[in-house]
Amino acid sequence: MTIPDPSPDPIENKMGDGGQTSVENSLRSLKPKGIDSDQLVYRAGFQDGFRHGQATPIDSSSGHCVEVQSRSRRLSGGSAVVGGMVGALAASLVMLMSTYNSRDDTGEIRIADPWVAPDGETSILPSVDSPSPAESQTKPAAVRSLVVTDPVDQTLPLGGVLGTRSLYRSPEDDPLRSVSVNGGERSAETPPPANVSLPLRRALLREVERSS
Amino acid sequence: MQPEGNSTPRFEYSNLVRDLGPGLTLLARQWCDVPEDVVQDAFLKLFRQTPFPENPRAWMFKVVRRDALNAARSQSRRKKHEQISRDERTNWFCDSIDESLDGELATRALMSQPVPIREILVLRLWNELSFDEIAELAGISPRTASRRYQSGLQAVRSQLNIKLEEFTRG
Repeated sequence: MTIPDPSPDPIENKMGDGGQTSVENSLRSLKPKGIDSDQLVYRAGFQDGFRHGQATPIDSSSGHCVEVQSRSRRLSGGSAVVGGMVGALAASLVMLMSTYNSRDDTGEIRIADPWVAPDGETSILPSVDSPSPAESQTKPAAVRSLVVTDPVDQTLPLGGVLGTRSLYRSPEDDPLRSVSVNGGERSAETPPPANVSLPLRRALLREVERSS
Repeated sequence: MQPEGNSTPRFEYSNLVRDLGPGLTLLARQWCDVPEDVVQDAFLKLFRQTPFPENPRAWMFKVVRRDALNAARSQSRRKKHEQISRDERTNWFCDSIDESLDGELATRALMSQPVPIREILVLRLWNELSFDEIAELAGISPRTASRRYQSGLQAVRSQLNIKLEEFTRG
């Protein structure tokens, strides 16, 4: 059975300032809130022309693109954060591996980096077990300066970030220094004996005694 | 206009979205608290349909109704939605100074009705479906659809009278 359509609204109500207004018409006059068409355009992969009434129809080959695009939009925020964290971890790991010290069979600390000379000094020249010069040239120079050079130091070198202790020289190694009143710096230790011959020293002594 | 596969005329999609979007959103809002998402997803599904449905309008109503009901099945979400609906001032309609009826009043009047009645009111008033179409969609007879519509409209009118009296008094 078919109901006549559209059916006139039998229910009328007095609304507003005395006018006879149909409830049905009043309700119909309200415009429901719709969807965000800009967002739909973006998710569907339409071009800007869609908003001006010129929709770009999606062909069958672009169906996959629509899905990828909508998914990538949903995941863009979270994936950027995760990607950044993974990148930072990977960079840390590479730095750690490049400078990591390991003990060899003799129990001595073997510096993994090829630019550290056996005497413990940082050297620009490649060491014995260094890779080929061609390979060496590809390494950044900044890495060399961050390498631990103290063979006694067993702190884990982390490229100067956490292994800063190894970059300092121990106080015993440093000669005592004092500052003169003139602002200059001189050593507090007695100067080493001058390499002067005995006759000359005697002549100098006599000269001093004479002047005093 | 009968679309052939995805070679739909260029103006078809925009017309569909503009004409059906608001009414479908209001329909989905009767069940779930994410009506915009449901309608957007339904449009995207429609755009990807191969071949394109013979009657995209009827197809959209079916999909939106089904997806909105599925979205509402999450009990916690529904409870949360009802809680928010009770506590907050809700307006399902666009603000306009031309309207003779306040959107918030109409929203509250509609919300006071049971969902089966509300659904028919929304389908009839804001989506302009015939009783036959409503009956097919809701799985009821056209006579039942008509009866529910009339009783729902009567109840809403009463609600609006009460609300308007309160409004003019206060």
